[in-house]
Amino acid sequence: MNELLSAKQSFHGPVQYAWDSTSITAAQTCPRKYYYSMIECIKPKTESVHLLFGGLYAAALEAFYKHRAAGDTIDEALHKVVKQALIDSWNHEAGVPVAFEDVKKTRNNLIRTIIWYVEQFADESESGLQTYHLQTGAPAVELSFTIEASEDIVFRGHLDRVVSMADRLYVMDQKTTGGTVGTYYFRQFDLSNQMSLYSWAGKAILNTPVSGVIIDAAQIAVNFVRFERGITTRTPRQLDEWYYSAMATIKQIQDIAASDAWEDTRRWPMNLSSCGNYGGCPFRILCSVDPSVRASYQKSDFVSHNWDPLIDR
Amino acid sequence: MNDISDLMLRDPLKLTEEDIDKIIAAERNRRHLYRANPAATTKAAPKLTAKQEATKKALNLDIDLGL
Repeated sequence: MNELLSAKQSFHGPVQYAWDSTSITAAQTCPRKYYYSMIECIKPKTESVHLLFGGLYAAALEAFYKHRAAGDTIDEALHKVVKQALIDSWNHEAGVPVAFEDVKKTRNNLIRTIIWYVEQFADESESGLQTYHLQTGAPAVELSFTIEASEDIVFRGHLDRVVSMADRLYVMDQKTTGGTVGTYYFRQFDLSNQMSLYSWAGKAILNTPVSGVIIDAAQIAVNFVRFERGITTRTPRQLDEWYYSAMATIKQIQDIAASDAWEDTRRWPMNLSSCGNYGGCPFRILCSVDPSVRASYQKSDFVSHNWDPLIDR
Repeated sequence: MNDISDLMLRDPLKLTEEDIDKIIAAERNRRHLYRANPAATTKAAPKLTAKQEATKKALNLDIDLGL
């Protein structure tokens, strides 16, 4: 068992007990993908620009609403998050901007997207949205949760912000894409593990039903950004179905991990119909080569990566 | 806009508060222009000069001239 796996808080040995939407999705996509990312603890050397851009953008908006909840004006909060985003996207060692290997999702466009988002959505006086406040009076922002899903499974996640709109509660989330945002784009979230987990957890945390997730999607183009707001809803029965599907997948993975032969990769079947999804599985190269040379490819193309749902990012 | 490009290439820890405000103001203005005439803003980015291409390649930078 590698050191990273041994140290994971969300595991007992090779068996994961604390799950988030990332690990559930990996397991549902392909057990072999789950094995590489969560058991072998590796990720590609080259970070996806989409993860880089999206991560910095999400962090900026989360911080923006946190500053606002703390009493900052829109301008004060925007100033702080733009400054931080510039810092976070700078390679301080080399003294140059972080390289964004994309023509649309560039560092300049990251800053532009943050500023244009705030210009479009920050003033919520006419949108009917209000940040929800907990019973303690605290605003419902940056809500991390660890909820018992069963006797021996917990679900873990993080809600950036909960809002009320027309007497219903919604979780807020934001996404970025280089493509056009429309009805088809938002439909992908109707079966999203992340959105289902948010809705499921929201009810558990707030003791009141959460109707779904409002998604602010940003289309990143070379010279402009266009925003669209969409909603994905979940009924109680849909959440019930999602829960049973997630638990069934978790049990499948746990059974493999608990077996004596868990270190034999053949025990982790490849879902060959998923290899080409979303631009291609990052581990496709490993699955496509002969097992005898896999270790060489793993060493040259991948790095250690500890994704632990119980550790705050 | 050239000022903004220079600011974006500077170490952010050395930017002043006024520099940050300039970046925000420039993007607010750009958004205003875009909303007034989206078609004019959605044309392709201008080609870099030979010197700009060479500089970009040498420094491995992603320069958005933001014209």
